Amino acid sequence: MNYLIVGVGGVIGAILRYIVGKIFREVMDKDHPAATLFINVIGSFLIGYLSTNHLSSEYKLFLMTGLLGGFTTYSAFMIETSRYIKREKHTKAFIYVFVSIIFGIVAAGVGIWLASFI
Amino acid sequence: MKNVVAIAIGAFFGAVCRFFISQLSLGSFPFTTLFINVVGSFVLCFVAEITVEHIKISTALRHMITTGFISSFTTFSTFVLEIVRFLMKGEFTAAIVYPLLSIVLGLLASIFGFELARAVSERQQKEEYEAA
Repeated sequence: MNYLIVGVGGVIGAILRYIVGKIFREVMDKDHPAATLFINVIGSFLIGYLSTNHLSSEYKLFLMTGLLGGFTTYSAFMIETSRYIKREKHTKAFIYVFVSIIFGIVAAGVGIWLASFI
Repeated sequence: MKNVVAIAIGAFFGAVCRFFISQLSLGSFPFTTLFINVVGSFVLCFVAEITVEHIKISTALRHMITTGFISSFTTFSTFVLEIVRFLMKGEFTAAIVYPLLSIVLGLLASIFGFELARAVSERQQKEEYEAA
């Protein structure tokens, strides 16, 4: 049963990621990593917010492991960074990694903080 | 619509595989997430590179594997939450070592994925050339 909950959450997360990616590609060029950055930072904020809430374990599996796990992605983040490195755009690669992790940590922190009084 | 269905199928199994591996927890350091993200980065780069010219697959199948399975298998939100938990517990060494290890191994795996796909393509092309 837990596997089904996680799987369905993952499906919803992945479709949302696909839709957000499509919207970004309408306004930006195809290989721009802004969509992944946006998805990962929003997902980090939400997982932070949910992590301190007293949700049942089923809801945690559905929302955190399934939906947010499927929505955010590490592999796209890595392929985009390695494409910068392959094109010798080392500064951009460094900035992208730095911004993703710092913004992700701050977003998760804000989520946890917000959850403490909402 | 075909793409969305393909992504949904891939994502279901990606999330399920991640959940399965994450339950094999090994102590307090998040080795399982690290393993998932590094392996996923390798596979994504390998598949992306090998399907560019060598192996032709349909857009839907490509979406099922990359946007669906691999992207749902790997996760950024859990990775960040694990760093934040280290920070909140005051484990600053782990909070630095974990992301550093994830990035370095993730990038090495990505580049290895690209290179391996290229090597396979070149070898195949050479064989086809010699056979002709």
